[in-house]
Amino acid sequence: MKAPLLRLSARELGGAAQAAAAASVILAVLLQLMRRPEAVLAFAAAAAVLFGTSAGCLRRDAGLLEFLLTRNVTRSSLFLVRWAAGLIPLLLSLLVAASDLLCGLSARFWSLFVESGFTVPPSLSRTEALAWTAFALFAALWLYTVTFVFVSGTRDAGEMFLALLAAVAVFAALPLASLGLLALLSAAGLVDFSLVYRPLSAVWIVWYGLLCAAGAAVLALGLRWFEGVDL
Amino acid sequence: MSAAVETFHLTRRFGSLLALEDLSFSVRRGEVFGLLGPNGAGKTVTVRILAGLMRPSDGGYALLGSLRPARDPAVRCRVAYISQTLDFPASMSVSDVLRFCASLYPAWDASLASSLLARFSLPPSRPARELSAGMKLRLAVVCALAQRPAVVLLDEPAGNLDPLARREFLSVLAEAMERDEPAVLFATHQLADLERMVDSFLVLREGRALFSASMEDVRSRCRRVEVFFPQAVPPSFSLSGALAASASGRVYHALVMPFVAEAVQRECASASARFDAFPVSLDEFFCSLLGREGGEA
Repeated sequence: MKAPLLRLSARELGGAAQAAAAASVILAVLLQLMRRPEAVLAFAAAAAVLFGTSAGCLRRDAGLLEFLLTRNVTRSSLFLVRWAAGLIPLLLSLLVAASDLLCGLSARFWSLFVESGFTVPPSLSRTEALAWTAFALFAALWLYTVTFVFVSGTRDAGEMFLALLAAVAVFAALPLASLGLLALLSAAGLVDFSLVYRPLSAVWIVWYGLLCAAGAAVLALGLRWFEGVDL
Repeated sequence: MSAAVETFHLTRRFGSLLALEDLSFSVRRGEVFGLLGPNGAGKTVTVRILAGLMRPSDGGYALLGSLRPARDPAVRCRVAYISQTLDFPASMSVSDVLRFCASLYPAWDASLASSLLARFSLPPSRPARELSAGMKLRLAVVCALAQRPAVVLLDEPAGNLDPLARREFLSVLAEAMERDEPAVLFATHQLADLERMVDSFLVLREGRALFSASMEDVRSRCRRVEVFFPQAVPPSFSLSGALAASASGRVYHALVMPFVAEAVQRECASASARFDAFPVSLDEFFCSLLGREGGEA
């Protein structure tokens, strides 16, 4: 049952996926020009919001939702398949951006045409590049899930706008709360705050786990709500 | 035979508005059950609850014996739903929609789908979203019947169809009744259409069950009675068994069920009046019961 539904969802998201794929290639080239790894994070956040919104706007097309949910399709499978259908192109886009950071893909691309400053590979160490990639990946997963769940509750553009604002607020709240907690733990002498500045340290690993757990919890809450909502 | 559709004290509130109150009925396999009522009576809410699109506030329902049919794939694949508000994926042609439905239903009848497609003159390569409202409804009918359902839920299905297409739709539905013997729940305004098919019906008003009967009972035991008085109708006059009554000038009108000619004759004679009795159509029955003129249900 899920395979045809996934194919349908992928087809419905096809336009957005193509646009994001094109944008990711262009941005990957630009990232190289900017020479700033933080840009990967900005790219990941933009892609997460784009795909979270595209995949999450289930209820905007009430007639289609009525058609799907009166077939042999359960609400939970539709919800999870739509979440997965948006996640796949998001991960592919991130792969392009991360490969630029890790392998200097755009530098190699430019070197086909010119010999200039553009063709110099990134100066980040492999560990730093991995750290930024992991940060971008987990932040994007968290933001994508929050955006998807919040947008799935909306039925028109006005509600969607408010949902996006709320999603961004919740997205930002978790890292800020985590930093606050870390500062408190550090003040109590339990944790060394400087671990934040060390790529892929235990603090980061725990934080990525926290993001995954929070994402799963938000998805479960969204699913529970979607199971009971009137359509 | 156990009921294929059963509701138990079904209640639905929207804030302070009570859209359905304590509604209980059942539909057996092979039975066509009409759900009638004026606009806002709760017909669509009832069908949408049974289709799993809404949740009841209180009470419950069972489809094919399952108390949680929305979560039971074995039941879901045997329940068909048709409404005017259905729409299809923008990325799919008519044949894509049928392929998609075929992949979801183990009992999908491809040859029946093809024959219905041809019968309804649906162009297979046309994007389903671009079909007219009537054509979309025909496609919904193909999708519903080719899954060989045991329960068919119809919410105002024929409203967008022209008279010929409506006749075709009813004939296709009658063939499905012979082939699969599904339980059909039919919420509609087209009472003339319903009368040809319906076995029993329930009239709803303001979310409450007002009256239920079998069509056979209405045909054999119900009459519209007109009582003619030499002068104005006495205010105290009423016929026993009158479901609804009104008086204008010298004529008293009543919908009487059960109609017993001798009893009516006796009551009229005692009031020095004479009477005529007529069989009633479903439309007349409905309008008399709800005490208003016009054919809209």
